[in-house]
Amino acid sequence: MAVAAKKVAVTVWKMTLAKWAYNKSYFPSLGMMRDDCLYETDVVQEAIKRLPNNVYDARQFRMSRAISLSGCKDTLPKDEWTKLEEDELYLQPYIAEVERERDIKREWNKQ
Amino acid sequence: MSAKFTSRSVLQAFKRHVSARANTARQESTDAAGLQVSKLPNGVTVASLDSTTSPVARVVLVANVGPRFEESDQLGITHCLRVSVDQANKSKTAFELTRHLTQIGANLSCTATRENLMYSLDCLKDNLDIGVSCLVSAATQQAFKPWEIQDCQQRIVFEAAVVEQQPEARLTEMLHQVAYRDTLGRSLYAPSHMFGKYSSEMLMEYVNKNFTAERMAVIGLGIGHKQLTRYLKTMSVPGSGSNTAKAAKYSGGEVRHEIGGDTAYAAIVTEGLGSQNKDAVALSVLQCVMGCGPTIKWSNGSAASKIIQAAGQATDQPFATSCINTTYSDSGLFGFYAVAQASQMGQVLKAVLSEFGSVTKNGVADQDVQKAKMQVKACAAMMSENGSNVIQNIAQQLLSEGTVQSQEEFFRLVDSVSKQDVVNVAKKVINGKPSMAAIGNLSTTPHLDELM
Repeated sequence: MAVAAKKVAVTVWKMTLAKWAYNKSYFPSLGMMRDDCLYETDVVQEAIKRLPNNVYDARQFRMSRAISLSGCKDTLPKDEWTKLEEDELYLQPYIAEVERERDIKREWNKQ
Repeated sequence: MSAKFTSRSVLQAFKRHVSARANTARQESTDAAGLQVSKLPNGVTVASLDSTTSPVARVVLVANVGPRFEESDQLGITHCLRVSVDQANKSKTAFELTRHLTQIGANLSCTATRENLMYSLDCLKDNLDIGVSCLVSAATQQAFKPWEIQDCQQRIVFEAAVVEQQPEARLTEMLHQVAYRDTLGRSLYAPSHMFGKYSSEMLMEYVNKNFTAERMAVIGLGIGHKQLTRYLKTMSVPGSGSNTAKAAKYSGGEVRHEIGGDTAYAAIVTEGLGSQNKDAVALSVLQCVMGCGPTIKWSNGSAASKIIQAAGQATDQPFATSCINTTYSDSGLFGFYAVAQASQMGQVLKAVLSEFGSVTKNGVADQDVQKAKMQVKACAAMMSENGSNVIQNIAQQLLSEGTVQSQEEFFRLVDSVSKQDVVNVAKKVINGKPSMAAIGNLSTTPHLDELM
């Protein structure tokens, strides 16, 4: 699958399969994006701290809405589900940067 | 690494210079004609002065950026720029920058004057490739990551609090503010209403607007010209376009700040001369005629300084007074500051002012002028013993004048100052519109209109 904002030429059948798998998942029916569902490891937590305020607020809203929906065992109406084209991997650049910084630290501390 | 904060020293009127090879080997000295100046392809001026005596090389990247160029909604942004020198930039993370520098045992610091921002690097000659790349990345490739800018705000708050504790530093800021209002009147330190308000976009915009090629220069001391140019080949300049500096307009006025305590601090100045003015050297001689503080440590200085002598006759309690001569590229301040016990301030100020007045009315003695000329030359020579003084002086001269004056030229200029020159410049400067700043226990400190 394409990573972050890079557009990779993918064959049509792969794309169809990806869309089908995405729509079968639970989280788009709650209005969440892929990066909202990441397990919060140290790296992810540090990346979340670096998000700009508006992106962070939007993430919080999606997660609160999803939690309250799931609590009522409900989902959003079908037309409000997140679509694969709209799903933005907003956290990946920050995660990459945090990981890069950690690698640099590890390399330096080896000597 | 440290972010030093300095304001112009009292004797900044002197053109510092390169000293001759005849001096001792301890000094970082070179031939006066050894300074080579050229321009990089990207438009930045490069100057280098090779020296074989010292294993230490110094490189300074100076930008004509300072509080002088701040707009009214950007107050203190230079302070923020200065403390963020060790933050992540586009080519290195903060961690990498620190580790590279500690690995090679180098110092990287950022000094701000009202007109210039100087990023200085000191390192051994063998490690210049890493050192210069760290310097260039810190000075020209700032990234201003939002989460790191937040960390910098704490440093700004701390430095501002330190300055708050020092009446002398506050006096200087108040004096400039009342004398110039904007441009040179802007403070070196961030005001409290701006704490936490510096954003990544604001800083990036300021850098892109002001760090232009014709306002930047790189000076190397102890490094060959070809070598320095080679290290700077990949340097890119963040700003583009040209913008002319607003001319500094002296206004004059009075400001007082009562904080209680035992002592009072006051400074009274008139508009002095810019460093490019042909009479600037005569004004430095006049400064030494009036007196720049004791020449012998722990003495009371009355033998050396006319104003100390005058103030000493007006009070028998402790006091200190010195003539101020601050020079910027197009303007300056000339006058004196005095510190005295709160109850004695009136007498001290009146005594020193009458001394200044008598110079315009009665002139100066020949031997005073001779003594002052020797003091100017000696002070300049002693300052040139320190490599970092030499390089900062070259940096500021290159940016404001485009050429650097050697020690021989400077000494010749000082020698050619006549008694009449000193008297003329005294009449011109001392009779200007005064500015006064006072801080401390001001219960008996007279106002400006009561003194004049």
